[in-house]
Amino acid sequence: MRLGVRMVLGAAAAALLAACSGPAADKSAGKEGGAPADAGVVNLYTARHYDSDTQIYEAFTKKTGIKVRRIEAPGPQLIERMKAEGDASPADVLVVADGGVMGLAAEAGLLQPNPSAEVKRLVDGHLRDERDLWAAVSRRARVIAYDSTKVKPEEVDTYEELASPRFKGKLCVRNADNPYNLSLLSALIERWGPEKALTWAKAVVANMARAPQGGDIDQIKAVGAGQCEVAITNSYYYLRLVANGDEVTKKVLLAWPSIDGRGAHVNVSGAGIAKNAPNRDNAVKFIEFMLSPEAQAIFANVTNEFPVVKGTRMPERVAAFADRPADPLPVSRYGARQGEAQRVFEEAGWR
Amino acid sequence: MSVLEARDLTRRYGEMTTVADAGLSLEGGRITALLGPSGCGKSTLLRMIAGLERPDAGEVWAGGRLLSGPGVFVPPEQRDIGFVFQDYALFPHLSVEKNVAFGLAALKPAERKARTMEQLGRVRMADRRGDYPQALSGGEQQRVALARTLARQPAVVLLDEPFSGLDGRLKAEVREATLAALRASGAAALIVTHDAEEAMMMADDLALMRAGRILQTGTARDCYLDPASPEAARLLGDTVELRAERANGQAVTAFGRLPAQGEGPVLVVARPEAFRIAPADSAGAVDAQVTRVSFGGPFVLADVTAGGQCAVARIPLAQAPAVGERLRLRLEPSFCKVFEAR
Amino acid sequence: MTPAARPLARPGLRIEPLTVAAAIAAALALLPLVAVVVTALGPGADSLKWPTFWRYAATSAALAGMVAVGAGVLGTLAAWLVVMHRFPGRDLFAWALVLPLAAPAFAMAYGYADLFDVAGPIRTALRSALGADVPLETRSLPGAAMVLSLAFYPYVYLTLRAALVNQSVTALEAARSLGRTANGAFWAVTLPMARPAIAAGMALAVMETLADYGAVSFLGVQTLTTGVVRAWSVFGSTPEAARLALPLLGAAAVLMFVERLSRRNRMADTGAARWRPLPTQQLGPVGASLAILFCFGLIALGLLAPAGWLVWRGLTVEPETARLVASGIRALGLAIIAGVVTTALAAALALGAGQRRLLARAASLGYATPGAVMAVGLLAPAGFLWRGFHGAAEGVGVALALLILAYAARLMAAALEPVDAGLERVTPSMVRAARSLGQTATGAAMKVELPIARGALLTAALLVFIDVLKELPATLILRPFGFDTLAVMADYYAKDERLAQASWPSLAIVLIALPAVVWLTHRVGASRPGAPI
Repeated sequence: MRLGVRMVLGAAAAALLAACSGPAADKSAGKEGGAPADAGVVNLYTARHYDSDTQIYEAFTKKTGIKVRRIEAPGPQLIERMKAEGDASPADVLVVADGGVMGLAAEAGLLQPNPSAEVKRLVDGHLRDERDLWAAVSRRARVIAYDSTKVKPEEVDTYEELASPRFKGKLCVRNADNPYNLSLLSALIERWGPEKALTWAKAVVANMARAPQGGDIDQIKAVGAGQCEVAITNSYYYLRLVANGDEVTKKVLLAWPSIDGRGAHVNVSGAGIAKNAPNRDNAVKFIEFMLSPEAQAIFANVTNEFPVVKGTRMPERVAAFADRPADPLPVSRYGARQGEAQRVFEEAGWR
Repeated sequence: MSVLEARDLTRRYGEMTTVADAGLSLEGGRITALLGPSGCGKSTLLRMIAGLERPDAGEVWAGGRLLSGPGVFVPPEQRDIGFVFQDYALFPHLSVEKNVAFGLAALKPAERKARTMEQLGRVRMADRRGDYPQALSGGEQQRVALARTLARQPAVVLLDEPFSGLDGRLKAEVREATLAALRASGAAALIVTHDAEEAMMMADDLALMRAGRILQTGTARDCYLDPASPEAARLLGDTVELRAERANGQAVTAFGRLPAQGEGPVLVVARPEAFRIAPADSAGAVDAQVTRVSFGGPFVLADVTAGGQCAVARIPLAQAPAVGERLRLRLEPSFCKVFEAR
Repeated sequence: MTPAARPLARPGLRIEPLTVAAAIAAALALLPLVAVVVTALGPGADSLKWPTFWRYAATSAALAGMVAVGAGVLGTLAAWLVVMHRFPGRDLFAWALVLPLAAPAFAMAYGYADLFDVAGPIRTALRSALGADVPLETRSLPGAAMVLSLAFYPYVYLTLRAALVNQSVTALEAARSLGRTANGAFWAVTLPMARPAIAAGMALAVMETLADYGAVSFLGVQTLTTGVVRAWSVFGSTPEAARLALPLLGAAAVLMFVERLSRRNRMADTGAARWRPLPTQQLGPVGASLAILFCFGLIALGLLAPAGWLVWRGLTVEPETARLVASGIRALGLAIIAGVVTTALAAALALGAGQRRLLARAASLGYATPGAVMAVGLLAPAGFLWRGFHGAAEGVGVALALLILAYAARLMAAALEPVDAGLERVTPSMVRAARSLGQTATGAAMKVELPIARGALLTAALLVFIDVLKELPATLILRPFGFDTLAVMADYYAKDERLAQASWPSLAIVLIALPAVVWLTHRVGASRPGAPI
């Protein structure tokens, strides 16, 4: 090999290795402040990808001195990876943004029970696993954004109304692959049974103003542009637009529909300790930290999610919805029904 | 009445002048060879005539019509001039038949087919008409290229070193066939070559070219025996060049005298066969020493010296001398030419 | 000192270091593919339904067809204009037309989807003007076809331009002397002679289309590739993913065949004529204006418009500079190493496989295989590694090695193409001369063939470099702890519907890739027989 090529190769390798050991351990390098310098690490496999999380990691390291090393990837991919890694998996904590996926991880035997009493105290029973394999750390609701100039609030106070002819050609929603939709339909199947869920899905498809495309915010914007009158969206996307002062939130408002009068469909982000976690104690500390007032406030303030711990300080826009009725269906049921949900979507033609 | 005439054609590339004031004319039914060493500009001259390049100065006339000139340029497809390229340039995506028919797009299908088959028959490639050029040998490709060009029955045909890719017996055969086809077509043909013997053998007329300039035009015989300059002479074969002084209407060389008017030094350019073995008592003969003899088949080349000058003499085998022999030699004037010395 | 040649059963088969290297290269390239096939034929893909499968396959085929035509037409017109004509700015456009290669297809998708969104500027303006919505949906099959045609036309442009530049001028002149006008000669002779190059370029564009994940998934078009990733990431079913990947492998084989076929029908250059540049036509004012409009339009649509829109959006947010720089360094390092490794493997394959073209061709199947499929294929052997060597999973080195392997397997074909072309300069007599002067086959390869082809090696490395910079799915799946590249960063934000933030890493990719693309274009344009190596 020519000398020049060798030099380039060497430089690249050096750069790569330097970069690897750098920000992976990221800005949470131990600062002065009394935290023990080498308290170890916690290896995080997380499906969440929000700025709030970065802030939480930094705060955690600052407080405990434990470095947070993480891999970010979609939930099912993390599960596949942990399965492939087997006993040698270095994962300590698994964090996923969808209750159904959390359930799948639990079923796959990838998690171990969390011994922490704090967690049991702070998180309600229906928001954590019976075997303590995981617990919710934040909540979001999948509700309806509507054009306030054309739609009255009482027209969108149940999910069934989305299927009514009133909204023919006026509904926008994202595609069926999305885990949020899958969990919503799983919940509906659990509550209504498969036949009614299928009827509902077919009617919703008939009501679609356009083929499913884009994300939740795109649906909200489509309502704003007049392409549709109602859209199904996660609460935090709408609240993010409110936080940014986006014009569209003047015209488009958030409705809080109910399943059989029990409340809106609520999903969670959950955290669990990995079965072969090499740093188990750090993992416990980390999860407890995610439930601390500080972290919960960050969830509310930065990502606009609803906290799971009562009494958390949150901004006005989030507080307005945080205590509205939520369907108390155990979140772990979402995972169980996912296969059926896919089949229903397929049959209904919801792409 | 010449079919094609080129006048004072000039072509420059940046600082270099590739062709300078070149001119020649072609007659219908006659074959002209444009002879010169590699890089002398012959191909460029050809391309200017064909319209593939624009001259910087000069004119090209054909059939009384100005094709290239100041303010005039007729594109190549509108000139009635055919071109056979050095690499034959057959179209690889078309069969032999379609190649030949390519230039006949203006004809009706029936006539096109008839003419195509006729041309293919003349070059004896009719049975290969469905093949593709990749399957043909060099000689076969050349024949197809010729057929393709002649199919349009052009008034002028230009050929750029058409035989240089062939060798030996094949070359001779292909050359014969090509010349026959050209004569049969009645077109005026200009063949570019760097091979002097080939040029003299096949052409009715020669044009000698060197360093971008035309040195001489005329029949092969005239050019050979009566060259316009020493350079022209060198192009057509070996020369022996002897310095001589003029005196009393003669140029005196160590090997003999030649008639020459005027005064001052001259250069005598002689062909090797000008040196003849003379009977011992003939007037004008000189004594010469043979220093080396090379065998050349029907003749030998003998290095001879006399009176301080050297020459190479071409002597028939029957009279071949031995090395070291002393000969009586005389100069045959018809194979010599006297030029002013520069 | 020549190594002892151990005669084996088959005459002519010697164990040479070169052959071993070639075999290793081929094995590495084939490993993920074999793993995919084995996984696909195994149990477990029950949730895959035939109607779904056919829908994905039909969409993939339709998209590939549309892009083949789109990229083919655009690329051919561009090459024709630039090579056969003279007009102001032509020298600039000659290399600028390749620039869209610097933009990852997913970035173009982000840009266009946002630009043409129902709430975006263009349709809002049209709505005010016309009173009704004009359904210019980028998030659709035709929209995706448009975006990918603009992204991949440079492949057709490059291959056609190289073919035209290398074409013998005499065929064109022969056509002129036989009565065709300049344009007529182009369509009747030059273009048909260049047809294999156009086919090769279109094959490349189709391969990239089939392999694309980022753009297609963002635009909501459900192809086999998005199906593969969906099966794996949403349903967690590797066998199902593998099964969806099989037709992609089949298509790859066909496309490889088409591409290699283009090489066979070339006529041997008699080498007699001296090289002359192609005669060009000077365009008048109308023609020149149209030409400039077209060329500029292509570059604008392929790069400037989506990139400009991304810049516009990006200006509304604060870039995370530290993270950008770190991701940039990682992306750069990966791309350089992958470029060198893949080129080395391709060179070993090209030199060592010799007459055994089948081996080289099989190794090239990876090109049409989506990165996600490669990664899925590698997970099985990776699992062995991780389980077998405790703590190996921690190793950054292992994960990076797997990632580079996935890249190499995928891009071996891209590297082989220029390496093969470069090695064509080496005549068999040169190699024989080296052998007669005491070199082994390996020695001849190292001392004679490689140096002659070193220009082509650089071209190959550049191609791989650019492709790896833009790679997304394999990187997502196989990367080690916290190792984000620019593409991963962009995807992270796009998935969270934060396009403004996604624009910064996307633009960073474009900026890093641009010089490489420009360099690559100059290399391709400069290669002519007789040109200096």
